[in-house]
Amino acid sequence: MNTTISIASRPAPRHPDAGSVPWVRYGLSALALAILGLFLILPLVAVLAEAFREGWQAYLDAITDRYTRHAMLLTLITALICVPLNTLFGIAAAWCIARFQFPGRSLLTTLIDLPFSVSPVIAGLVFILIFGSQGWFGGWFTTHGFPVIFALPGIVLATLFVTLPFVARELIPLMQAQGAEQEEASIMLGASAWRMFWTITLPRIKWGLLYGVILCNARAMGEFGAVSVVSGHIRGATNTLPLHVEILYNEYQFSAAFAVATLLAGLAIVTLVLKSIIEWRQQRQWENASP
Amino acid sequence: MSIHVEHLTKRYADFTALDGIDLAIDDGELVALLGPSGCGKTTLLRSIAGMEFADSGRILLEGRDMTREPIRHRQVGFVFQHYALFNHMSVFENVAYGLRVRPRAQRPPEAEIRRRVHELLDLVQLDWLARRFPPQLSGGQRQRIALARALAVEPRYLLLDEPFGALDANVRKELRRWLRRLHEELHVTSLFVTHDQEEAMEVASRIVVMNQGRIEQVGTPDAIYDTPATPFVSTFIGSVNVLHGTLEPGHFQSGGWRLPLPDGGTTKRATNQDVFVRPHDIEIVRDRHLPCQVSVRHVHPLGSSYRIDVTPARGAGEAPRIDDDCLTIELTRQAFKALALEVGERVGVKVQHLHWFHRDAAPALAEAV
Amino acid sequence: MSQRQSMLPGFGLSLGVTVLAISLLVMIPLLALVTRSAELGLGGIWQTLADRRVMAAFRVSFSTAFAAALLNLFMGLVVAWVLVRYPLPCKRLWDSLIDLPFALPTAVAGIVLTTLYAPNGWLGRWFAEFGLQVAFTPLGITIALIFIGLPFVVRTVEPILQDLDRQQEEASTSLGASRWQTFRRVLLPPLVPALLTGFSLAFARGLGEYGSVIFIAGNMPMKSEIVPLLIVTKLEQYNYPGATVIALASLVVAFVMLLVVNGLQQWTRKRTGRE
Repeated sequence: MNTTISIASRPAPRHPDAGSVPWVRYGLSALALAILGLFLILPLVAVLAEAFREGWQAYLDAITDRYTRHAMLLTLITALICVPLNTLFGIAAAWCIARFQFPGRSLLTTLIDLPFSVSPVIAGLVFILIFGSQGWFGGWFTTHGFPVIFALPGIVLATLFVTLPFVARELIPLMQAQGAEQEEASIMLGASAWRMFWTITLPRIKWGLLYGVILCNARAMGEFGAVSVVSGHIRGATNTLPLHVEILYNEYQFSAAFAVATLLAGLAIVTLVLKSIIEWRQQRQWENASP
Repeated sequence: MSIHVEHLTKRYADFTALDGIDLAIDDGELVALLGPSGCGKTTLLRSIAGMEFADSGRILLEGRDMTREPIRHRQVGFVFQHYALFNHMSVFENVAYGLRVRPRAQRPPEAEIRRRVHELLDLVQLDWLARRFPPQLSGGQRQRIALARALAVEPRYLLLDEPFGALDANVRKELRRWLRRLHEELHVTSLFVTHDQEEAMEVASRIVVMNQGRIEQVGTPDAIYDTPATPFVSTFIGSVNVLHGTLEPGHFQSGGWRLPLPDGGTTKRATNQDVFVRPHDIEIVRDRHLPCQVSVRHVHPLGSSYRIDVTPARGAGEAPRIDDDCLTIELTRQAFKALALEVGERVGVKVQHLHWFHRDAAPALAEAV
Repeated sequence: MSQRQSMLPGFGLSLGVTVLAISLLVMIPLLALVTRSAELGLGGIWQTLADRRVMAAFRVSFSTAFAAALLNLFMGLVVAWVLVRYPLPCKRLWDSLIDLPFALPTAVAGIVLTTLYAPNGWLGRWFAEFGLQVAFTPLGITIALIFIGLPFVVRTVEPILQDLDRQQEEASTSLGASRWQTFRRVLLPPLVPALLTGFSLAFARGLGEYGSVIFIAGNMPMKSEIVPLLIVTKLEQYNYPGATVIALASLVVAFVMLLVVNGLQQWTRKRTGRE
């Protein structure tokens, strides 16, 4: 009986902006599409067009080149180290910030966001100041056969810095909105902390977590500025894919540069698609949850 | 399975949630914590459960000090206000959760878990929903599943936070009776929080009335209704007329009112008194010789009863004034029909029961006739 | 510490991990920036910053980031408005595409925008006919920053637009207001805080952006050299103190900017009584 009433009392579906003047609506729509086309579609198309300008063979050569493959490997290794670490960090940060009250909580939240407002170049620079040859600990690390700057550790550190907020920023508002009741219920029923995390917390945040991980991964693989400063651009050694694109471009190997760029653009597209799927799933889950 | 709370105090930065609470609950009781929002009743409940920690004071379960004990040693079942059902688990898994998360040595075998869960689902009459998920259930069903889940771990104490707060009025009434019956069957010491006095009166065998972090009164529903210990309890439980004025031998003077006291009234004169009269404790009599005469101003039919607003009767030809103090009288349907009252009519009234407090005095100085 | 005890487990562990990571990755590195600058003394800092080339770089960075954020304010509002309000073919697709600048590595954005706007590129050729050079000028920098900043404005305005109470608009119309008056007096005020946020985010990002800008900027000292590039140049010349001071200055400026905008935002919220 209740359902009948609620359906009957729901207002009839209506055009989202029925009251507007047609020419304003068409004008604005055309303007918006022009902006989107000019700034988003056109660059994507141009990447493809430039990549294939010299034909399939040149494209294949460029992306299977020895240095390209090495750059790919380095990018993957960096992401494989940074993404799990920042995922753990994001879960820990979200747990203490969204579930507990403590002095300095809002300061901590601000600090987590800080890497977003720092120029990537500065993110690279600070690690040079610490680990570079003139840095605080640079001499020690180098003499002990473990150089940080112009080596993988530096690339990892710079990437960790710029990708630090991604997972935490997704999870904190999500967990705050969900509230602590289900976790409290789990503890009340006798679950251990470990049990509670795997049976209650993780299943509830999994989509938000995945969302954050995907964005974190995209940035980790695509970071340019910070990595550029600490890597030293040594071909076949400390060159990640974005840096490789830069080197090829600066050597006027435009088609090769764009060929490698298609790999990164593909990564971006995959990221956007996964992101949309997760958003859609979350929305559906939310709609199912509300009676 | 008694609960003793000794001088429990909890302060937040800007207010005191619990201000020296002392409370004793006996084995097998069904007690309501009643009070307005922010009175500390939920904090008290959560402190007993071990979900919050007081600044000072003690909580004893069966005589053992549990103040600092972790939750798993308390054997408390807790039903959350919004149920806190695990939405990603089936109803069956929700109820089984407390058994499944036990350490391996204490965990019952799978067949035993099945048996227990179905037994509990039978108890709450929802066995047919075992495979559904919480978002597919109605509010009342969720409430009962939450109860089954809390009972699965065989708690010695059952604590319920606003158990009916989020339900429709009809479902709420049905569930109240159901909870009462369930308690009679299980006899688990139970404590529930509510802000609805009707709910507390109907379900609980004893009521604890709280206000601003303190206990105002503890007693049976009848005792609390008939002999409220403080002005707060007088106004919070049931409807009541409040008049402010002076007590004199034989009557009470307040504004345009001069109410004769029932037999045994005070003989001393006392100023600055608040007098509380329940609407059904005033009788209407068609008697011109009664000392208190009133004009009938409004009649509100309420179904089983009638509510009548009256003001002091003025002399013939004197119009009633807008600022006249109104008294509300409640009559049963039969009594009203028998009197056949009409608006504007002049009738006599007799007060059968009232009580008063000095406005600024400590609550202990209550008096009543 | 007066942490309120909670029944939930893991506070110590999670806080420990968080504080450790923040200290190692954010606090200590930024502290290094500050102490390294302090070693130079106020005189040294001033000498570095007063340099004409440094001042010019700040001017270029500020003006281009400001212009791009301002343009994004309008374009972002139009895009968000159309996406929320109007029927559009393949709306989901467009909506997902908004985040492309977040997802696309900046180096890729940099080379493709340069190619598009170079004097012989698809768009640059067209501009050239009007005698306007885009790539390798501050105009090119602005274009890159528009690309980078657009999603900030769209994404902050979109949810507010979605939540706007349609009855207020209808009330305004029923009281005789025109569409434009309704927009200006009823719709725009609640959007102002979101617009300011979007603007400040786009602006802050623009000040620090490196990858997408360096290709299109041309990087001519005094004309089209941005602050992040100047930092890199100093680093490549092993002028670490110079790089450090400029980095610190740009950080301070960015924070002051954010503080001002935050204050402005709170002021508008208070004034319009929105929480």
